[in-house]
Amino acid sequence: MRHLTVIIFIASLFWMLPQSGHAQLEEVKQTVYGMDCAPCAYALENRMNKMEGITSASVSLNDGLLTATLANENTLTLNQIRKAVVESGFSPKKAEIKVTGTLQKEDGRYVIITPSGDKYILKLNTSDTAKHLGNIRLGQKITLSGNIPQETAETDYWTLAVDDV
Amino acid sequence: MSLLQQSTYSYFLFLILLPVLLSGVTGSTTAQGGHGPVFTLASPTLGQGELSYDIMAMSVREGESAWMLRQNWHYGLTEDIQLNLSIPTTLKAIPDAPQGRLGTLMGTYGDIEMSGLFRLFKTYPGVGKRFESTLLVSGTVPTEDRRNSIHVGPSLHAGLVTGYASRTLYGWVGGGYQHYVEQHDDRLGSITYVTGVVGYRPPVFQHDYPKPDWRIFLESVTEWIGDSQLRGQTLDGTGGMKSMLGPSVLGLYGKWGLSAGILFPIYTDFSDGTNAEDFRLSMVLSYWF
Repeated sequence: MRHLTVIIFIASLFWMLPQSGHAQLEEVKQTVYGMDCAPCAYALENRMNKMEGITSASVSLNDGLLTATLANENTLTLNQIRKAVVESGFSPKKAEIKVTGTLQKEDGRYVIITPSGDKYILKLNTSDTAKHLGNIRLGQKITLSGNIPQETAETDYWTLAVDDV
Repeated sequence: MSLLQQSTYSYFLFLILLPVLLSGVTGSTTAQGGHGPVFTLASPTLGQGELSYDIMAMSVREGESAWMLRQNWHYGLTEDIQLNLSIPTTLKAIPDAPQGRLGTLMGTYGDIEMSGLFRLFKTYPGVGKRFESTLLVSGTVPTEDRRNSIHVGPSLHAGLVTGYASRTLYGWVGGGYQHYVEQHDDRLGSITYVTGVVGYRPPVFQHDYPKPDWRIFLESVTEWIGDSQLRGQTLDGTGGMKSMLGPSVLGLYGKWGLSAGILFPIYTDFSDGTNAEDFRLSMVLSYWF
């Protein structure tokens, strides 16, 4: 009984500890089509800066690029960010993202999953990346940078072309 | 200053300060709205839940100038549906103000206009580029009983516009029809119109946001005004056609926009001259909440 009490106490401590290395989206550089004027950029920038979980957002009109830096702890998904772009009247295209998630394997493919529900099927660009990933234990948290392709519709599974692990 | 002048002055001051006051009350900053030409149909797009306001001073001259102030509210219901309300305030009336549609989202003098823009089609061929078609449906309610001695009724209006916008070039073509309802056996003539506009943003103004964004337009409006009706009798000669052409300029900086334009008649065909115009002038100050 005494051992059980100690185990429950230690388990409770772990449960109460803040989750270190929170797994989530960290940065998004979203290409946006359809913005042609300053108020378009102003509106999108303000909409993004109002979203909970985004610490800063800026828009380049000439490049059609939304750059969003996300908070250390956030529950935003890529779908939510792209939906905000659509609600502003524009079309989200390819994106460069930095994301931390848990490495898994599904149907023989590497996948990383974030706590907010985003799933990224990893497309490994180089053999070095594949080798590096092969050395990482399944279930471990990793941070990746990569690209989401241009013609991606709203989805639960994103294809992420990995540039850096 | 008489009491009447004082109250009029206070009213106009209130109208001008209203958007600023509201922005302070709501603390809202999202924005985007009618950022196109001054007189012609275009396809403005507000994002979902976004609000914009503009105030315009307009003049139409036919011998002497009539001046009107218009407040326009725009709200994005969804990214493809925009609702608009245009409220006129006459600053200087003339006895026989010419009839015609005075801008993209507003009717003639003295009409309150409620409208909806429905984006039927859109495609984005690249960064900064839009190609889209929009349906405009509106209804007007007159603020006075009679206009040019004719009882004025409400009206229904529909228009269609299609166009292209990019960071350098702009172009829209459109047209519409406005029909006035009979009132006490009187009826204002219907308006059929087509508009066209081309725009250009010179390289010197192609800096990236948030630097100021300027563009210039060449606008064209052709209106066919039907004969009006008085006590059941058609007033021959009140109907006719006018075609107008002129430049406009639009400057955008953050949540502010400023535009101005003038149209001159290039062809007028009215047998009694009632609806002829010497020029049509407009200045617009816009604010995106």
